[in-house]
Amino acid sequence: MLASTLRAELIKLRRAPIWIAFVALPVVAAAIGTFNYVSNLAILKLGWFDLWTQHTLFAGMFFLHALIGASCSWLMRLEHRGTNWNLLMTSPVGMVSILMAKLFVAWLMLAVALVATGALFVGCGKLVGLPGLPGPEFALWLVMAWVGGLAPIACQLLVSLLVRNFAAPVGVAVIGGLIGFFAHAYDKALAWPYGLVVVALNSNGNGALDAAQIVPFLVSTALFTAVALAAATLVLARLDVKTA
Amino acid sequence: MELSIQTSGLTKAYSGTKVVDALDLAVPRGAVYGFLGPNGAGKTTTMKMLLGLVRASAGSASVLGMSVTPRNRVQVNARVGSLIESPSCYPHLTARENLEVVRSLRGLPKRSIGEALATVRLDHTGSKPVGAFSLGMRQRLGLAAALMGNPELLLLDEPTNGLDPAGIQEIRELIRRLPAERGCTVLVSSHLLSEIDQMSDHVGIISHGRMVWQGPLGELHARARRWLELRTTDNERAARLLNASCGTDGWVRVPAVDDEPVARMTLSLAREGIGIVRLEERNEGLEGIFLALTGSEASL
Repeated sequence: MLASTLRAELIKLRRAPIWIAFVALPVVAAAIGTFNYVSNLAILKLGWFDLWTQHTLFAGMFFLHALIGASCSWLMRLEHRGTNWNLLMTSPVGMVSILMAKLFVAWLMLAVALVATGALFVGCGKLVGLPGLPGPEFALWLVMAWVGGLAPIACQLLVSLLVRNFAAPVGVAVIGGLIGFFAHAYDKALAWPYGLVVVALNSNGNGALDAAQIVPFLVSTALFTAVALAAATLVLARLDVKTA
Repeated sequence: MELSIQTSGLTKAYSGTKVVDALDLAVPRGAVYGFLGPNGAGKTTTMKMLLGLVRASAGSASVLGMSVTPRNRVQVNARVGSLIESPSCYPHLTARENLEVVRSLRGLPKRSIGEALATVRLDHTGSKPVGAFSLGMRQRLGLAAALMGNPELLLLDEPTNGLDPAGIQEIRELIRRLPAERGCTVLVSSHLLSEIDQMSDHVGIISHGRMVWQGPLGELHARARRWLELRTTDNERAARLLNASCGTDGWVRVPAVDDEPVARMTLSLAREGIGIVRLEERNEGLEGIFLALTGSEASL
């Protein structure tokens, strides 16, 4: 059942205008990060690591959460338009499958954004003349950010399910990301779903997740994801289907 | 009589106002059941409750022998096709891609897309996104989606909305053929009397959320008042002789329509030397019955 719902969600992504944001925002984040790096070469002496902090500072604090918000808003807005909820809810698929498929698709979209972030990081590094290639830890941080991204995605799906407007949930995601950034500064990132991507990216250079933090990180991700999904399922099950 | 849909005291209230009020609906298997009522009578809400899109405030509903409950939703949906309110579609996708979404959700074979598109004559739309479709084309797409997978029961809410006269005729024919060709039961709602009259074999009339009449269409027609109208060589004398009324339009109206009284009437006119020029049977039609039952203005 989940496979068929997922296939349906993937078809909806064809020629989707939301992809424009997935190209534009990582480019903007990389451009700002590279400009900052080049402008502060006098104090930024750590090569790839400093370029990484400059690139992911804005990405982790703002752009990635904006993209998560936009993708979830778009995925839910597809159904909020016209009578599309009727189509989904009169199909022989479970409500959990519907939400899981959207979660997976948004997660896939986050993977695209993170791959773009990584590719732009390497490309910009070579452009500014950094020697060799960045170490494997950067790829690991991107993978961990992808894993941790499940939690804000689940939360954003719930928000976008409740709020039919496109922009307001994106605003919620951006504010959530900003709070996550400050939560990380106070070592509380694992207690806030929007802090997980920030801590995984090590974007402010406070230190990457160490071995002892991996399990709490995964538990926190699983817990926030499960709670948000359960709440969204309850909303779908309990409320009458509204059409535009 | 085996029923495809049965409701008992089905009620939906919003903030204390009953939109559907203790509705007892009985749709026989294999019927095209016309669900007739003025705008706002509760037709769409009833259909939404049958599909589990809206939760009933009271009463119960059974579809294809299964209770409509959240637990049965998936099983019921697998056997029912529907077009409720307006067609559901993703405007950035083509007609084929939209039906691919439906095919995936319903687990149908690939050929079902081509068949559905051909049935509603949308197989020529190619790469045109649905966002650029006319209202009628979208309506056809919605019907194609509802028909996919040969459902045992179809719930169609005003399916000819937005279609041109030729399209209306075509869809009407399609719906009429469905029970014989696909063994499907159809519940079709409309506020258009003529449409229901031409499509259905059973009718339910709903007004202010309450069922005011339901049964075979023939029985509804049988309730209609009938009369004869005749023109003679001397209308005033004919009216006096038959104890009937003579309208300003020159027609004499006689309430009797059965064979024997008509025979007596024609003989008596002939005996008096009054020639019958024209003789026609009239009835009040569905419109009159509808008005009498609902107390509202009928749409024609």
